[in-house]
Amino acid sequence: MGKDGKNLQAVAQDEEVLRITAEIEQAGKPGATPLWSEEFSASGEKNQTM
Amino acid sequence: MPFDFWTDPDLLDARHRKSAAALVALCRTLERRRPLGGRENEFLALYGRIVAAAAATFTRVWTEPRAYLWLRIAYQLLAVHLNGGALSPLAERTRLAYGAPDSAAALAAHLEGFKAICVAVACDSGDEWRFETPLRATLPFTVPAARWTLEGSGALAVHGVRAGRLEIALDGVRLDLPLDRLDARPLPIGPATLRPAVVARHGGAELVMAPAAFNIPGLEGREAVLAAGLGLQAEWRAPVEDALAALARLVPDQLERFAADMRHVVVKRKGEGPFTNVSHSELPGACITTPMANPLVLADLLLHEHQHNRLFALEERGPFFEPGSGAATDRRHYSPWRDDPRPMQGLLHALTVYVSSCRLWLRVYEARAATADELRYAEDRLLRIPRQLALASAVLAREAPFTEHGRAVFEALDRDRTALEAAIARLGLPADVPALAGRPDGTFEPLSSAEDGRALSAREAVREHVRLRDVRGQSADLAVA
Repeated sequence: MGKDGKNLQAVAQDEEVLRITAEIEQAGKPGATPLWSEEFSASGEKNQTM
Repeated sequence: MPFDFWTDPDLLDARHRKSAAALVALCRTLERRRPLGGRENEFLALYGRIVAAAAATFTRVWTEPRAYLWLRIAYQLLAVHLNGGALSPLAERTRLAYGAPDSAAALAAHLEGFKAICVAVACDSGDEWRFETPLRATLPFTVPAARWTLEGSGALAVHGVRAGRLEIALDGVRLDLPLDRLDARPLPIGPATLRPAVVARHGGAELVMAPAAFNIPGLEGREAVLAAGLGLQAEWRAPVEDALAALARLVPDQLERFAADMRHVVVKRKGEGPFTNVSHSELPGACITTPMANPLVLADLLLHEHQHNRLFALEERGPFFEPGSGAATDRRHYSPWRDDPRPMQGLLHALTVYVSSCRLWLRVYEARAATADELRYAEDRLLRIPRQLALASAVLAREAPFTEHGRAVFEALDRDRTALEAAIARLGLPADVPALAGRPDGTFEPLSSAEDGRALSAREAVREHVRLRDVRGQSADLAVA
């Protein structure tokens, strides 16, 4: 977003929007590259000591 | 690393830029496909207004952890609705929390949640916003970037913002709350109370400690956080500030990054919830902790969670592991820090956060800026963590299905690890020291053997853990010195 910020009108000009729009249509289909890695919880187990 | 992972200022920022682009893409797809037969109309109208929000306002709100999470879940629900496939565990828990029978109903319910982001923008800008249908929510309630929280009980409906007032209804009773007094002082409102959020501040860091910010449908650990309440946050504000002050003294460059990246820390009681501490890939800039009263141990804990957040952000540049390899889900690998087998993703995270932790304790020891008990604990850390890092590194090197990017990240981390080993070797530490565990009350206690209860040394603690927990023998060919 940058230190000074950016509004969505400016974001909408980004080339990445076109790429992601195309990827929504392909998401989950065979051969599609996921837009993000699998979600993950980095957690300490319940009784873990420090 | 291929760049300076520890200080790069752009890591979390890049996540927010991508999620903003994804919001535009999501809305364009909804506009073109209209997959909900009209149930997306109000959302699209609200989006039309968000587009015009001032850059500073939009950035403040959109860089909040919950805004990011909202986008990621919305993306998944839309993609699965359009193309089929399975939801991620969190998206599935979200669907269940909405009571939605399918992805269409879940997406419609989730789009309603965008109104919280609109309320945040309206509160920040003071502009008038009215919803066709109110945002309905449970307490405790807050919105992204707010410094207030509505605590207590009751069914909440938020109608919008008009004439400088937030218009709500609580259990059907309409109330108008002046925007300029939302975070001023506690204000009883029927069965609820409007309260200022607890904020811990030091050295440019501002950590909002508000359980309401984690009142998110389907979020693992939510109940433990809500049970802690604002009262526990207020109790721990000063210790958190002391921990930030310790980071400022010992690792000022790390505190600078921490201050830029982290927005929310919330504490919960020990033993409540399914974990001690957690950072989630879909909540950048936030973590849940079981706090420790010793400022150095708490500083270590905060830094630990910060590095999880940064490693998640680094993965925006490309996956660390081959897609479909099960690196995030296949829990069968030995971790020197956990009693349960871990996925490779967890092991890479552990390597990262413990390199960072080891650096902190090295600084503590070098600076001698600690009590005698803390220095004994530092000695244990400096003897134990490098051995644990070596074990984790060997398992990753031999078995992880790294991508090229993941391999480069791992190799850079491993160079940092070996540099630390060399620095620690120059300290002239004793050959072995008693292993210690930090207690929540700020004291330290001997670490006991799980086999016979006797007090362990640092080296014995590592060896015993391998013996008891490395059930697949992944460390069998490694000498634990």
